[in-house]
Amino acid sequence: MVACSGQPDASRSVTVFAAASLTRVLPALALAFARTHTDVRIDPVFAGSQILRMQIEHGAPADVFLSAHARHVEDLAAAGRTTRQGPFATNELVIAVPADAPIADLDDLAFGATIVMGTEAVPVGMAARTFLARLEATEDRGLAEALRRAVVSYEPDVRLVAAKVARKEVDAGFVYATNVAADPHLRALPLPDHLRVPTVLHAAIVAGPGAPRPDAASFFDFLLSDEAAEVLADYGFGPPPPP
Amino acid sequence: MTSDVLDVHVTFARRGFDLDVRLRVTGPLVLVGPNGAGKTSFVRAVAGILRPDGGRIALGDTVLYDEDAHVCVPPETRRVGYVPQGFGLFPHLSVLENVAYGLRHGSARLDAAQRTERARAVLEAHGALHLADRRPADLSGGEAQRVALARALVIEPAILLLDEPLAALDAAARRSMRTHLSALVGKRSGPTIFVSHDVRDAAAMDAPCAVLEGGRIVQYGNLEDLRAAPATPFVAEFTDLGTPPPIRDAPPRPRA
Amino acid sequence: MIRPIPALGAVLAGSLVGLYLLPLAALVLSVTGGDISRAVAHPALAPALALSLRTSAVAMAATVAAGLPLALYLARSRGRVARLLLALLDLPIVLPPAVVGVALLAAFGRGGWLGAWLSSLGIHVPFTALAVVLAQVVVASPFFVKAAVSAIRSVPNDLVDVARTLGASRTAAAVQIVLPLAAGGLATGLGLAWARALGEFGATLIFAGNLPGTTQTLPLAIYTVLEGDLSLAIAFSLAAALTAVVLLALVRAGAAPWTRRAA
Repeated sequence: MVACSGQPDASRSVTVFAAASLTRVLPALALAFARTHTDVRIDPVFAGSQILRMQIEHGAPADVFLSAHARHVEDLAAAGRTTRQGPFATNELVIAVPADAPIADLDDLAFGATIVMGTEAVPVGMAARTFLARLEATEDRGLAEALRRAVVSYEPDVRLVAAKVARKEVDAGFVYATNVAADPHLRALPLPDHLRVPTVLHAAIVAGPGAPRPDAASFFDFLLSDEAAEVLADYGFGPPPPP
Repeated sequence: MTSDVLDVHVTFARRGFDLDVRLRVTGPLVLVGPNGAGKTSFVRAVAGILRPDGGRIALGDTVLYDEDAHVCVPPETRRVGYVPQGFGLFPHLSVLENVAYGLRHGSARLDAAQRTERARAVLEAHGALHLADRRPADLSGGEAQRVALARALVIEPAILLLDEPLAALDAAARRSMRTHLSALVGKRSGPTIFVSHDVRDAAAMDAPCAVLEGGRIVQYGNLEDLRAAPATPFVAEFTDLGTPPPIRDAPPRPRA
Repeated sequence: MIRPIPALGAVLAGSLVGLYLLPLAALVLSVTGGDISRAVAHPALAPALALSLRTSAVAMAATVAAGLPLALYLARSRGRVARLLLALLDLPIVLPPAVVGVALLAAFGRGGWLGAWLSSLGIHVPFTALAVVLAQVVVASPFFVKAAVSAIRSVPNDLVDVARTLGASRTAAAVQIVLPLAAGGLATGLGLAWARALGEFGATLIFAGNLPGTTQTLPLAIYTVLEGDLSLAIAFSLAAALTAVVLLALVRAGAAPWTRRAA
């Protein structure tokens, strides 16, 4: 498909370290980017944002870092490891259950259910903890406690959480709205507005050892374009918050 | 002690290996034959280690193996004394423990002290008591053979099977062991099968010879009868005391 | 035949040794006293270490109990089934552990072949310490069984035959003759398997999950703290390396009297 335009020059490539939640959308973004930059290849690397951040701290050759949480980008920026950064999309935490499971709402998870969520450091895990804290503060202390006790595993990235729910190994998992949109085996439980936890995805150009890479900057700019926003919207991501 | 008759009929019908042997063993018997004739397979079948494809083995009234009746008594209950080629001593046990090993099992439950006493007595009878605390690795060929014999005899076997017991020994040890063995075999009353390819063993045992060639018994009788009317060239060559047996030792080592 | 140039050989061999020692030295040298005291005080370390020791000990007990009879069979049988099984034993060794984890879920998971039936009995294997043990047995036991097969094969058949004629049953001959003579090889295999079980990560993460105190073994704990704090992870790793070294030494020492007797 892409190969019709000829083999891109191997030297013109942008290595993108991307949060696991971007696994599906990034190839589509790369395809859209290739329409205007036919000679630049996008090399994606997916993992939990916290793992990617640690690898960048130790000199991994990333040109662009796409994090599912502001913290990892901000910490890198504070350490002088980025040249530009900013939000480029939003997502939302949801509680996913298997599509055909007889679970109607949160209360159905209070007794004997099993739940998986992210670790403390992975963005989807941080969002889940925010949700539980909010549930505890505003609604039902007992329900929050029951959900915490129902957790059987803390996964290092959101794909593992989604896979375990989709395989029905557990009753529910804290994932992103985009995971549910992409997988017909998953369904999101309805949540009241005040319990919704939106998340903001941040992009950064990683400061490399050599000269600045113009292609990295092009891709960064592309991510903030209307064209990218359209692709992101197709995959369920929202626009970045107004500055 | 009355001795039982060992009646053996075993057949093997396998790719590249065809054997059909009937033998009636009352006392000592020397089983000779060229390499690959099936001597070891025959002995192992009698011991119960190798199951034949057909036939029947009985000791007196006791059936040890009968293919048609689906009987195959396991080796541990056949009361067979077996000395394989290379002696088969247990390298992790002392000589005394090797000899006492057979007393650990079976119906005659002896306590440890009784086992030791019995094993020492048998070792002494074979002139090997001084080896009791040694490891098999520290024994000479002749010593190892005495220990292996003592170990096989400690269970008072109904059948004694010796597979090329002298082949691994040097000339001097072979002469002294041959004397020891012929005395021992002469004293025994039960069936004893002595596998050999050396006519001097057959001569020393004063026992009938059965010649196994190509999986069949080709001749049976005393050494003199065999020599007088050899049925095959092998028998003629085997019984020919006039010419020295072919030199099997390694050629002299070239000087460095 | 090409003779290796001694100097070149020495350089190559030396660089391999360097590759072993360098990361280990870096691990040891990059840890400060503060990291160690933080690691010791970290609430995840002690439960993870205890869980790793407990689950791997159970996994090794199961490996020896079931692996020895299997190895005895595989070592003595020349049949087609035995040859096939021996080849199959390589699978858990060469498969990526994550694949093993997915396969275990497919078998024991809620929707899995056995899992569906187990669920109907009220038994749930995934996300339990039992799942940790199962993952360890699958990935580690082949190392033991393979080593045991070659150790058992090195014991001459004659010895077993003689033992049988001396009244030993098949089992007695295996226990009294074969196993003592194979003890050195068995210990090596057990040590390898134990080290592999302690280091198990991928299959455990997928099949058993990552829950402190229940399924979070030391490697999972290392990966979890690695996400936030590398120096802490290094201190944890040091604890893991130390545990493996001590266990290997214990296994070797345990087998030493046997190997000396058999020598």
